[in-house]
Amino acid sequence: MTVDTSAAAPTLSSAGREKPSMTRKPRRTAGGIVWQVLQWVPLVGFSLLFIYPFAWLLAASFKPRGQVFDNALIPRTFQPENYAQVWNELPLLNWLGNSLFIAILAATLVTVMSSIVAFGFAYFKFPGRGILFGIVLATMMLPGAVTLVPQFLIWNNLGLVGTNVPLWGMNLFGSAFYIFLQRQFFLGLPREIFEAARVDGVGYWGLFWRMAFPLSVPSFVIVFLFEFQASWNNLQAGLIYLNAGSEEGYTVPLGIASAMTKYSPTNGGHGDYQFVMVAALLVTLPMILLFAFGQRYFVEGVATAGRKG
Amino acid sequence: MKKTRKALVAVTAGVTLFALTACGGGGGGTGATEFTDEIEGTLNVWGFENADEVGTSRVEVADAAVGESDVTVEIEAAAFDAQKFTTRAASGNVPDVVQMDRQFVATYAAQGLIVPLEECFALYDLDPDERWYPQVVDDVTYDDQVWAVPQFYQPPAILLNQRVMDEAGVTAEDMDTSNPEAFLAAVEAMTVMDGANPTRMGFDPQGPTKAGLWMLSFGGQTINEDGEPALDDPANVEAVEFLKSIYDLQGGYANAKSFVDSFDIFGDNNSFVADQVGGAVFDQWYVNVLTPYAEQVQINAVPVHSQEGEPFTVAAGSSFVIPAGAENPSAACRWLLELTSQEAWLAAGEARNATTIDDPDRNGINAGVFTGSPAADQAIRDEFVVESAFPGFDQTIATYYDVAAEGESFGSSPAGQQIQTELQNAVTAALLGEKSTEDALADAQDAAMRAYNQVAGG
Amino acid sequence: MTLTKDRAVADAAGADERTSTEKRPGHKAKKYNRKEAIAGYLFVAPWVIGFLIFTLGAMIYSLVISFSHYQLATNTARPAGFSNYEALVQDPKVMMSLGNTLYFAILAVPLQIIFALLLAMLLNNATKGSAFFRTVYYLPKMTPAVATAAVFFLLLNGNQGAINKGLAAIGIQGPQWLLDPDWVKPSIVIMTLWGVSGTMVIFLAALKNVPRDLYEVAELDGAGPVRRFFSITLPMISGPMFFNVLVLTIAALQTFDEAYLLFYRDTVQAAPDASLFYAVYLFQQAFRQFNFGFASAMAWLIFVIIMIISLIQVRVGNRFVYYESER
Repeated sequence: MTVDTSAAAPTLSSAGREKPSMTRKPRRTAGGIVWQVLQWVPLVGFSLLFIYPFAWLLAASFKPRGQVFDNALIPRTFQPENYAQVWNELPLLNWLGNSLFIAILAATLVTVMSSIVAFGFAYFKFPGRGILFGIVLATMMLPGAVTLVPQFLIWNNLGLVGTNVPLWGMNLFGSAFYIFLQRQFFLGLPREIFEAARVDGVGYWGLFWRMAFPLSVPSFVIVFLFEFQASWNNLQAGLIYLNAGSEEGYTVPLGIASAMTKYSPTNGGHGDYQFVMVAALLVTLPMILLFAFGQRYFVEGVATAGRKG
Repeated sequence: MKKTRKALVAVTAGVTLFALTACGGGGGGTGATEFTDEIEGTLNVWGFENADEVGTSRVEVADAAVGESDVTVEIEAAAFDAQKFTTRAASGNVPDVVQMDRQFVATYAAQGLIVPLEECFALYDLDPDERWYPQVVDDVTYDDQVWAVPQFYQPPAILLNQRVMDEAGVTAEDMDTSNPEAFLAAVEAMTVMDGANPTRMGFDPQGPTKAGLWMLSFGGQTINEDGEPALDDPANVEAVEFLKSIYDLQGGYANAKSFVDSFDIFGDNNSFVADQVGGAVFDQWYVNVLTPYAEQVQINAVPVHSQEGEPFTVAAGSSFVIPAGAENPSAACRWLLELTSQEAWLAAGEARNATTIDDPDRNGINAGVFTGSPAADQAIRDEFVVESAFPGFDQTIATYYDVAAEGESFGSSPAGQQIQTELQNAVTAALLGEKSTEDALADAQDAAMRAYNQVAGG
Repeated sequence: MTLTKDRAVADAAGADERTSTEKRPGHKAKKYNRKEAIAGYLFVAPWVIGFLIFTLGAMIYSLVISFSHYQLATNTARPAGFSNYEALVQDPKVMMSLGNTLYFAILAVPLQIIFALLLAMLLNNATKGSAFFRTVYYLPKMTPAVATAAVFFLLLNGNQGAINKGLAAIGIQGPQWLLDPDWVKPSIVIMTLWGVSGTMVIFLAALKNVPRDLYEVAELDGAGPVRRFFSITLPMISGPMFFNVLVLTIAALQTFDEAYLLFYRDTVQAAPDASLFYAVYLFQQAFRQFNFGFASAMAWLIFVIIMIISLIQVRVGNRFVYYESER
């Protein structure tokens, strides 16, 4: 039994790439063209379904209050002022700053710490390693609900409820899924180069810091992007930990949720949903940009997780 | 590097483990709070979200009064958030004054998170029953003590759209809820349907949110004299059945509700301008929303009637409390009484007047200010609420003022919030047909009783 | 992510075996380099400490709390015996929310699997532009739930929403999605289908790994497309299929964001009973009412349920999944 390096490590393998030799050669016949058009009908149709809510959101963010509901993809009254007013209406700049700060910190911490731990599991031999790693994997199954209340009490006793520390603090200890992912990557690196470095007098920390770390940039990027997205989108932690703080300390998801309530007529709001739409667009845009630059990593990260099954 | 990391991890672990084992203690001390009239220091206030001229003018009066004693007031403008309040109380980090809806006061009184104000009132020779409407005082009384300083009073009544009524041949007399059959006939006459969906509602009773009003007007109750939930009162069932028949005339609750959700309530095309409703239950503040559109709407008002035929409304509104563990309760006490004094209310009336009478956008209509204090209401009404060019508005404002005195308290309960939530959920379930009305209210009663036992037993 | 467990443990064990047998064939007992072992412990220490405090410690703490009445305001707990667990049975909302959640999972997971597989097959067959379409299909996955909810909240409005306007255009009277108890869960299913592309990508990767020659041989044998799908495609992607079912089921059982944002964000507004999901009720009990004891008991109930469902799925899965990589 050997470690399957081809599947395990170099996560950037087959997932996203086409295999030209395998694909059917397009036949340049009339039938071939018809066939291609027929294939495109559902593809384009689904594209429209997937794009429509974005177009709707973009349009709604430019509408005056009374027209947000009207479903027109080209606003009847074009009101770009929404984008100027929203900053006075909601502390959106604070929210974006908080979300960015938390997401970067959370992603950086979890990438570095998970990778340290993963290297520990991948390279070193020590009693109990198999069992410990089994526990790492087992914790991935644990429903978050079980630890929700005690974790809150721990942070509350530390006096940190109402601050954003609980939203990134636990990343100091790494995270099971990422440890697993990065260990797979490290296992793909040939052990011989580390043995050679040991002979040259490189210390254990040096093995990691100067060799493994620079070699595993692709898996870092995957972990960083995944955690950045998870942190950016996280609503529940905000509801639990930041609601007790001031409105300026909110993250964007929490802020939007509270704005939806604030503007809701049942709560004495004025139904200014156009500001919610602007905020919703602004919270989505960074993710779209992130995807534009890191698409390869996202797709391959997801596919890798799946292939491990 | 490894060493520092090790040290960091060790410290973090140590601190956390200590925290784990050392739970207990913490905030929430409920030692007796002493009030004195010698005040100083900083006063932290939590409330006044979206403060308008009525709020700011009174804050000015109160700030000036306590400012003489060298107190600085710092206001954090935020909506009341129950979760935020409890979490902060747990960490001992509370402001000196919190603004909250009166229905929540008993909950926090029962948990010992706020302090009774008898001593504060005594210090300034104030008799709550003289200063405020008795039903308003009932709202914030728990365990025979008064726990809050009442602020506004928002009596609901029925706003009518005269244009729609005329078109359907309905008169204000038909809109008498003590005669359900005639009332339903009038609603049906005004309703316009497009298939299963209404395009004009004859009447919007604001089902779940105003369910308590309807129940009390039918002689029911939501909280009994002992502060326990009483959601399964047979009269409540009747009230919900009445709501259900109103909605059934208009496509059912779901269709009517999503029609109402699409209203531009505060905008140029609101439901009275657009003739989307014949009548609707609204709190008094909505008249202020409509004044800019006085030229475009024709409104009128009638009170809700009890089943005995008497004008009826409920006491609802906001209040101020002083949390247990507040650092400056004495300044809080003084500031709150100044904030709700006759002088402050008159300043508010004047400020409101300045923004309405002289503002052409508001068509010279001053819809008044409604407070927890009958004397303040009377003074503001006498001085500032004058006849306008719109008799419909004048009649509407008078209707709200007249019915205010008839308001009935919902009562107070340590499980006030949960009772309110269960009530709304039950009414929603009943109106949607998820459950029969009896079952929905019985289930809600069980759930509310469980919540009550949890709070009262703890 | 879960299924990885057994395989990865096997891998880890394999790695140990390999290195030890290489060095000392015949020795059962492993010998460790002491310095290396210490360094290894130090490397994994951050996770071990985090696990001891925030996972194991928290679980034990949770168990303790579930047998107490915890008062957050005063930070005190008094013993409650089994009363929190008895309340799980007595409080009809527990079973109602559990029923809602299971119903949602049974409705959502198959639809998500079918839709994701359909999209993946379309992309896999496309000769041109598949990368472009994949990007478009993936965008909703990047959209924060709060933005999705804000948009669908209005799209799903029964009278004015675009979805019902669209249905009306083809002569269908759409339901009151967010109000009619029968349509609340399908509404959330629609939202999750919109964001199904994570599952789709996993299927797509799997489809690309199916050797083409298998299809060619089958085609020569006269197997039609349906036959080829069921006798080649499905077995060849059974591993990822199984993974997707498991992950989607666990996610569905923990659905929170969508239900909370659409129905429970606004505490003044009433919500239909049909929209009460287990995770939402647990959140309300824990962080709105601060009934920590009861909420902890609820957490243990869903923990046990998820474990049982996962175990059943693993059992069933092991019987049907074809591991192409088994060596």
